[in-house]
Amino acid sequence: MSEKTEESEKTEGRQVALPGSTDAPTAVPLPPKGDLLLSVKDMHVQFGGVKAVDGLSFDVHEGEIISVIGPNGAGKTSAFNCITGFYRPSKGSVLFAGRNLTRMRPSNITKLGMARTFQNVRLFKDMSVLENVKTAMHSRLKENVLDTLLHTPRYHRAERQCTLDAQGWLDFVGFGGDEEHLVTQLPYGEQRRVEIARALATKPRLLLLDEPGAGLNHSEKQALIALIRKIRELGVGIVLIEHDMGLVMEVSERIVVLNYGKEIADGTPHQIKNDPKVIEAYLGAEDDD
Amino acid sequence: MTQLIWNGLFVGSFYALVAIGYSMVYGIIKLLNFAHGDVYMLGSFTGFLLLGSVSGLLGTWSLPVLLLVLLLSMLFTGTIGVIIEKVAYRPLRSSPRLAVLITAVGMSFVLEYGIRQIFGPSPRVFPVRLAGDPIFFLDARITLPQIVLMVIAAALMYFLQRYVMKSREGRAMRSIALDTQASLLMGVNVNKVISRTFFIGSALAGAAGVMAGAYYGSIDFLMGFIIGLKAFTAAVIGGIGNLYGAMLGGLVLGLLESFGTNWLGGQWRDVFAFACLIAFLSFKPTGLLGERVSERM
Repeated sequence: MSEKTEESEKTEGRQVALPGSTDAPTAVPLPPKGDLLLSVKDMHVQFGGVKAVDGLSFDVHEGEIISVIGPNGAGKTSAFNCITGFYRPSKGSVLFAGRNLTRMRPSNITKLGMARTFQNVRLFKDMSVLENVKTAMHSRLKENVLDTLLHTPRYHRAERQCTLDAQGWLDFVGFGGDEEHLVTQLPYGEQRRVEIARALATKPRLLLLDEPGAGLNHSEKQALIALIRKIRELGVGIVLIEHDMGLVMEVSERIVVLNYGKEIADGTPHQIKNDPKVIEAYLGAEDDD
Repeated sequence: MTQLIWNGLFVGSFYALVAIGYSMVYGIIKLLNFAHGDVYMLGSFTGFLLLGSVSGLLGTWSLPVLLLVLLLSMLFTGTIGVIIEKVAYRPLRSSPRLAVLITAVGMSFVLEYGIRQIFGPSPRVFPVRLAGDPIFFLDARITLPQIVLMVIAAALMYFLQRYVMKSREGRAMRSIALDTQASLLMGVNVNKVISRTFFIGSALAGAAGVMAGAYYGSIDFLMGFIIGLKAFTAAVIGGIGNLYGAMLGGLVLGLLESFGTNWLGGQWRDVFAFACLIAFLSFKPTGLLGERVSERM
C-alpha cells in the first residue's frame, strides 16, 4: 500500500515538472482516442499563382472531433476538396488509414471510409429522401443486371435490406419527415440532416462536415451538436469546418486555425481562444501606439 | 384515322428507341451524341451480316433467328458505343462542351464512311423481309410483324424503365445526371456508370436498326443521319435528358409525322418533322416533360 502511494506520488511529481505553469491540463496534449485515421502533412494547394492552402498539417484519430476554422477565403474548403480527392495537393501528402490518397479517385477514397457534406447542401434534387440515402450505398450493394431486370428474389432481398439501412440512418439523424418526398420539398434544416444521413450511409470512418451549422437556427444548432456527438460515439472521426464559434468551441476537441492558407494555430478550444495570432486574424492587429 | 394513329405509333416506337440513347447520354454527360444515329445504322449492318451468314435457316425459322440476331447486334453495338465513349469522348470530358460536340460529329463521319468503305455506297437488301397478311382492326391495316416489332420495342423500354428507376445502377445514373461530384463522394464509380449508359443507349439504337432493316428491307450507310436528327427531335419534344420524355417524344413525333404527311403529302414529311423541332425549341424548349432550362446548349 505505502509503496504504491509513494509510486503514484512520484509519477505525479514527475508530471508537475513545471511549477508555476497554471494551464498544465491544456499544455499536455490529449491522449489519442483511437487509431490514427487521417494525417495531413504539409499540404499545399495552388491555383496558378494563388496559394489557397499553404502548409497545413493535422491528424485525426477515430472518435475525435477536430474543427478547421479561419476567416472567409482562408482555404478551408480547398483543404477539404484536396482531402477528398478533387484537387491534387501541389506539395505535401494526405494519408488516410495509412494509405496515400493524393492520386486516388474520389469514389475509391469513399470506399476506404471517408465521407463529406457540402457547404451548400448538395442532395440529388430530383430524387426522394430515401433514394438519396440509398445512392450512398452504391458500392456496397450487390445486384447484377439480370436480377434487376427480372426482379428476382435476390434483387428484392438486396433492395429491402438497402431500404432498411437507409431508414435506419434517417432515424439516426432524427429525420422526422416523409422519406418519399422529394428532397427539394424539405425545409433547409431537414435537408442538412438528410445530407448527413447520406454521408453516414457510406459507412465512413471519417466524416468531413463543411459548415453544417450554416443557416440553422438556435435549436437546430443544439440538435446538430447532439448529432455530432452521437456520430462520434460510433467511433467515427469528425472534421468540421464552421463559422459559428459557439458551436466550434462547444463541440471540438482540437481546433486548427487557417488564415490566408497558412496554418496559424493548432490546439484545444481553450488555447485557441487565448491565442494572440488567432485573435489578430479575426479582429485585426492591435495598434502598438 | 385509326390507320394514321397506328402508323404514327409504329414509326414512333423506332424513334423512341433511338431517342432514349440520345437523351440518356445527354442527361448524364450533357453531350449531344451526333454519332448516335450512326450506331443505329451500324446495328442494321450487323444484323445484315449475321442474317446473311445464317441464310439457310431463314424461311421457316425467320422470327426466332431474327430475335437471336437482334440480341447479338445489340451486344455488338452496345460494345461499340462503350468504345466510342472511351476513345472519343472520355479524354475530352473536362474540355469545353463544343469540343466534344465536334468530336461527336467527327465520330459520326468515321462510322458512316467506314461502313461505306466496307459495304460500298449502294443500298443493300436485308435478307429477311418481314411482311405478312394484314389484319384489319378498326379499319386500320396492321401486319403481324408490325405488332411483333412494337411488342419488342415496348418490352425493351419496359425493362429499361425498370433498370433505371428501380436498381442500384439506375440510381447511380440518375445521381450522376443530377450532381457528378456528389455522386463520386457517395462511392459511385462515375466512369463505369457512364460506360454502362453508352452501352444501353447504343444497344437500343442497334435494336432499332435491325428492326428497321427487317421491316423496310433496304439499308445504306447514310440511313442513320436522318433518324439521328429525328431522334434528337423526339428527345427535344419529350424533354431532353428525361427517360420518359424520350419515349413519349418518339411516339408524339411519330404521330405528328403521320398526321402531317396525311395533310401535306409524303414529300413534306421531314420538313414537317423539323418544323416541329423548331417550334418546340422556340416555344417550349424544355419539352413536354422537361423542367430545368438553365443547363441547355
